[in-house]
Amino acid sequence: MSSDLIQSYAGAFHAVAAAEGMLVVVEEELFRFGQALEANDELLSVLSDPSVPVARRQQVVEDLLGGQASPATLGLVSLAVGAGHGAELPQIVRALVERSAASRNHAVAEVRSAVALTADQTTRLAAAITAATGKAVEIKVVIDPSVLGGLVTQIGDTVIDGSVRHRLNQVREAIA
Amino acid sequence: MNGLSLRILASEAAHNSFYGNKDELIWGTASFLIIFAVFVRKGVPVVKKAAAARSQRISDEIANAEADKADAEAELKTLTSSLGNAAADAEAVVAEAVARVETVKVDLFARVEADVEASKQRARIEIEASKQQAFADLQAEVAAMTVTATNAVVIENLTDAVKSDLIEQFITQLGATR
Repeated sequence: MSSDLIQSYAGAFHAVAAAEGMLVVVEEELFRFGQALEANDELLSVLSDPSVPVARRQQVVEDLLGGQASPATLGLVSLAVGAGHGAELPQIVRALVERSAASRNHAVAEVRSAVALTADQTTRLAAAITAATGKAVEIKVVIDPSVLGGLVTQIGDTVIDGSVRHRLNQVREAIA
Repeated sequence: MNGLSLRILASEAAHNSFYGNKDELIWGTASFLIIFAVFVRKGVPVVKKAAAARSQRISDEIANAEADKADAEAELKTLTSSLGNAAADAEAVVAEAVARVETVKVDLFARVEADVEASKQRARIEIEASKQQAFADLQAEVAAMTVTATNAVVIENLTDAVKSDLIEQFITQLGATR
C-alpha cells in the first residue's frame, strides 16, 4: 500500500471519528488494536489473507472488537479489512494518531513500558519530553514485557532508551 | 742285398770253400750293384721328396701353430684390455651411482627437514589458533554465564515497586535534560 493511500485512509478515519465526536476514543481504541495486530502475526495474517473470505475476516474483527470497542472503531476496522487492507492497519492507525496529534499541534511520543503508567506519570513524562525536546507531545503507552523495566520513548526518529533490557544488552556487549 | 743274391751265395757256398763259384759271385755282385744303383737312382729321390714334404708339412704346421699362438695371444691381449676397460667402466658407473645416491640423499634430507619444519610451523599455528579459540570460547561462555546470571538477578529483583521507581527515575532524568 502506498504512503498516499495510507494517509488517505488515516484522513478518512480521522474525519469519521471527528464527525462522530469520538476522535479521542476511536483514536485510542484503534491504537490499541494496531498494537495488538503488530504483536500477533497470526491475527495480522488472517486479516490480510485474500484467500479468507471477506465476511470471515470481518467476522473475526467483530469477534475481537464487538463489545470491546465503539461501533465507530469497529466499523472503521471492518471497512479496512473488507477493502483488503488488513495488513496495513497498523500503519493507517499510526498515521491517524500522528495526524490527530498534529491537529492539536502535538507530536506523538510512543512509550514502551513493562507496566502501565499512572495518569500522573504519563503527565509528568509528557512534560519531561517536552522539556527535553522542545516539542509538545501526546503519550501513547505500549505495554511491552520485553522492556523488563524502565521506559523506551520514541518521538519520530528519536529514541530514548532507558529500559532495563537496554542496560542488560550493554552489559552483555561489554562483557563479550 | 736282396733275397735272390743271398740264395745264390748260399748255393755257391755249398760248392766253394770260401767264395764258391766265381761267376756267380760276379753276376751276383753285378746284379746287386745294378739293383742298388736303380734303388739309389729311383728310390732315394722319392724318399728324399717324401722326407722333404713331411718336413715342409711339419714346418707349415709349426708356422700355423705359431700364427695361431700369436692370434691367441693377441686375442688374449684384447680380452685382457677389454676386461681392464670394463673394470674401469664399472668403477666409473659405481662412482657415478654413489655420487648420485649422495645427491639424492642430501636432497631427501633437505626436503624432509623442510617438511618437518613446515609441519612444526603448521602445528604451532594450529596450537595458537586452538588456544585463541579455546580462550574465546571460554570468554564467551563466562560472558554468557555472567549475562544469564545478571539477567536472572535483575529480573528476580524487578518487582512492581522497582519498575515504578525505574519509571520515576527515567522521568526525572529526562526532565533534567535540556
